[in-house]
Amino acid sequence: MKVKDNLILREIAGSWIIVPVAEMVVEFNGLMNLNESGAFLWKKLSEGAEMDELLSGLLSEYDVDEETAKADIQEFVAQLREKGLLQ
Amino acid sequence: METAYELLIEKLSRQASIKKIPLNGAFELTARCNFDCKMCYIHKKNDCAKVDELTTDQWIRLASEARDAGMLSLIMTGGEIFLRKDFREIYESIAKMGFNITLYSNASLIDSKTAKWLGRIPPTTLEITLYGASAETYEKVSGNAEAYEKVVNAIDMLLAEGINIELKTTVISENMDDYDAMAEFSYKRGLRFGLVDYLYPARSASHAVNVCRLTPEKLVEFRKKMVETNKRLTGIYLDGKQLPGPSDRMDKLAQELNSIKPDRERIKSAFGCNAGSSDFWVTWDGRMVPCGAMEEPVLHPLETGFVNAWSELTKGCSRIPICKECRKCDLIDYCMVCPAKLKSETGRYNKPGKYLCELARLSRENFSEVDRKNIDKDIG
Repeated sequence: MKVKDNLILREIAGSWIIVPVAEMVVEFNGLMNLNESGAFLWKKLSEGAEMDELLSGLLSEYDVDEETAKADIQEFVAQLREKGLLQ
Repeated sequence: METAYELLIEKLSRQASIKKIPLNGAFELTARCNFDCKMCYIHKKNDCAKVDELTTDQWIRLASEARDAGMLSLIMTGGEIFLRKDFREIYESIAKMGFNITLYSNASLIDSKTAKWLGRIPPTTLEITLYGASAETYEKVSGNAEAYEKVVNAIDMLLAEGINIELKTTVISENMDDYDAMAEFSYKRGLRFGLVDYLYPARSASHAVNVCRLTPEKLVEFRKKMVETNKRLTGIYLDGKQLPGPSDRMDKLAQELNSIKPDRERIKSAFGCNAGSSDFWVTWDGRMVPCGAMEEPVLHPLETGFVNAWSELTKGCSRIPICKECRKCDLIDYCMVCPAKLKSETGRYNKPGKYLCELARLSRENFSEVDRKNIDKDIG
């Protein structure tokens, strides 16, 4: 799985923000605010990570149990898919 | 009503202002313009202006340094930006860096090729200033009658390319009677229509401002008419609804905003806006100043590096004195006062300006709170 090109993750004034560039400016139309773990997953997804990599990454990076991590990842990926942000 | 997008921007602005992060910047790419508006502070014609402009590489380098320092929103303005032969090169390089980009233009140089090119790599917003609703008014204001038709065509070509456009006007005696027609042109196309109606009498080229800007009395009469016009047009073209803003994705932000502590230093600052705390302006010849209306404190980011210049700018702004007389004035809530305006009106930061005082007094007499909020929303 990979997020679409031309969506740049930036840390701005202490917040994680997705900024669209080029043709994504019109399609995306705005900015998106991610929390810390969302930004972590986004970075992984911009490298084309699969579900198992997302899960292992989240478990090693955060103090969270596997069931909760899985549910969070599924929700995050579903939101990205719904917004059409995955390739 | 604010959109969630605007709330996110507001949240970031508050955080940036507290942390002194240069979130919002304007790059004045050129002082040259193909218009000769009498009220404008920056419309040079000669080649000297071109010689002293920053180069392509200098603008790109500044943008890169500003991004690394935390800049999100970048305005590219002039003069007229499309006069620069290297504008595409500058824009294409900077547009890849991850900014919210707003372009300011009079749109008269945008042909179908340019519109198509912009459609492929669009800015977040393209703000176009209208100077009238006819060739005759364009001639009176800008000395460029033939531009009117070109601008109308450009706007429709840009809309066809899906580019997010906002229209605005600068009102002076010569075009105030065209306001209704300009606003209707905008509303018909579903576009926001903004207004600049306060003109600074200082910044070098604008010697004619005192002649062409509206007196406080005329300005208040104009604003009354504007409020009525906008109500009427909203009813006709928008079925009473507000024009759409950018995307509506971040609903929880309104609550988060309230959790951000107010900036204690801000209370002690002369500025009511974010100039020098999260906002800056770089002039066509490379000077960093707090905003386009101020000429000091002035720093030189190309010589010292962006971060050092920004740091010194924030310190310089914190030393600008508060106008104590204005702070305790009972008209303060109705007044447009700021350090830039006071300096421009009176030559000092701490001396009330008669024009502003009179405008505030008349605003209190003539407008309800609701009207004032609507006016504030439309005035840029």
